[in-house]
Amino acid sequence: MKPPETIRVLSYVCDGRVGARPELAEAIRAGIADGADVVSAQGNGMDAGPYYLGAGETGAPPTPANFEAAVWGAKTAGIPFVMSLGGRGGSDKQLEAYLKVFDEMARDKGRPIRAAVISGEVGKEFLRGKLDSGVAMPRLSPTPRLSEWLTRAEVDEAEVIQAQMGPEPIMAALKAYDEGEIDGVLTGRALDSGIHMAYPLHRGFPVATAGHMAKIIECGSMCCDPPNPFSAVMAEISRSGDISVWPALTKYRCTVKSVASHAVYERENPHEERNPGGVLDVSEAEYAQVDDRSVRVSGAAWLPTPYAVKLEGVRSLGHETAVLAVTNDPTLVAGVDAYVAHIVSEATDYVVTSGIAAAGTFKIVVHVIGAGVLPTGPADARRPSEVGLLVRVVAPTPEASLYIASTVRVRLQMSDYPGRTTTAGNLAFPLQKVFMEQGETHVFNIWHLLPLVDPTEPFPFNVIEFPRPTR
Amino acid sequence: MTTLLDISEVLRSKNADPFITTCDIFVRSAEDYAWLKRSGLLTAETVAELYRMPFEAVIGVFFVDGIQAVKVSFFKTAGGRYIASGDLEDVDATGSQQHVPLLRIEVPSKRS
Repeated sequence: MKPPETIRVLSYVCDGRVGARPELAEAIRAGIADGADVVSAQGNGMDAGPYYLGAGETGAPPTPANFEAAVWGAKTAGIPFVMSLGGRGGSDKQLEAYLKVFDEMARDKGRPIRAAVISGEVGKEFLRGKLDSGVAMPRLSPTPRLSEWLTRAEVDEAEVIQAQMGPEPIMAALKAYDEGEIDGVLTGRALDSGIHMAYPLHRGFPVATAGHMAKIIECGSMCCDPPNPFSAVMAEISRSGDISVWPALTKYRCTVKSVASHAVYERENPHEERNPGGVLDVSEAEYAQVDDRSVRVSGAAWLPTPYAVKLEGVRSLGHETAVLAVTNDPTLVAGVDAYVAHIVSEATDYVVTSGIAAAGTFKIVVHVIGAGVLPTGPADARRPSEVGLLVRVVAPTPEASLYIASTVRVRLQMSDYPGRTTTAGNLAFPLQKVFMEQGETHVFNIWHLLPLVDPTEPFPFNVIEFPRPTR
Repeated sequence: MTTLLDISEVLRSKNADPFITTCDIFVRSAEDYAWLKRSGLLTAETVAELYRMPFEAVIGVFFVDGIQAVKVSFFKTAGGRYIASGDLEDVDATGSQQHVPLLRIEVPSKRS
């Protein structure tokens, strides 16, 4: 098959967190009618922290409205869809919550959907094997919070480990699309830009152009004016290295500013970004307004590097119980930091000496909201008139966690401090259920690079027909 | 008193990853952007001081001429210790409220 000279990629965000306003379906239909060659969508991310990955929950549940216009539209138009799924994560449990929606859609419509499904999880045995054979896995960011090199203990401790697959496993699955075996590709955790790069690379377009295009449209219409994640955006790329970007709906515009600005979003260096197998260098990129609502982009470079994907892993800290309290008593507010430090120290000693939990197996942290939990810059001379105390306790069991939170609460409420007049209680408690059971709290323990000779090695695909048989 | 907030049209922060916060300042006018760039007001040293973090925790201050933007990136810390999004010591999982020290930076009323 002769490859076409240009490709149009229609991009939106299919994450259940973003929801699906009526406008989304309208935008996707308009984009497909405008000649899209592929519909690609990102639907997972780690920006909300480690909890959901550890718990296997998706956050806001996905609905058919996140997918119907794209999946049925692509099928009818005879173009593929490529989507990453899972919401606040991308593990197998989170992916499964999304795949159930595909079952539901296919069943309701009485029309099957065939997809190549690629897990984003990386097995512990696989990683141990790599470590045993001497593969060194450096931390991705040089923060002392991470071990410099991934250790076997960290792999053992982790609850879930996933990796951001690059475009290559998706490209491998797209061969099955060319052979008529599937309608599209669904992945667990994946590189956002890899989702959008896969189809153009599969058709042999240059990697620098595909990479920069993908970077611009990775969050759908976030590169439009006004930036928003609720609609869809189209990008056209040529073999000569030109990229054009415009919104699927006429009510939005792409401007040089909106497009170039997205290049700096959520990355620490605005000029270059590390990707599996290469660094995208946009320092020489040029942006030009073509007409009222579209922008032409060119000039990015791709500097090849040894291939590696990012591993993301979380471990459990224990069971968490949280308490929220408030005070505006001027004497307590004035000395709140010392009071809280004293209570935490006293409670910690009590928990250990009374045998409720061994030292080092539990932790009590109190955030004094209103007195600088967020950075404020130059210290304000004025103290706040009111502060909130957010107590977070983690312990090995739910019972120990609740007991320790209870002992911290009663001490905060009833203890003495210099100048105290509030002998009937020091604090206000705004929640009826004073002890908020948070379940198991997870923290990141793996954010390392896994070098791969074959980018598809840990990411085989399975062809699945939806609805899957019910048992 | 004029501050950085007064000459900016966007002043925001977000995680670049769970260990890195990045702040974006989009300056409203080309003149003010040019002034800010040559003023030396925003350097790794001034950022470390403003956020009361170790100098080594500042990753960089980047000027992006084409869009009149400045990017300030640093590792997440709390009480001088390096932390990650979601740690017990962290209160800003997405890093969306780390920009405030920047908006309070005073700028002279005459900036030519």
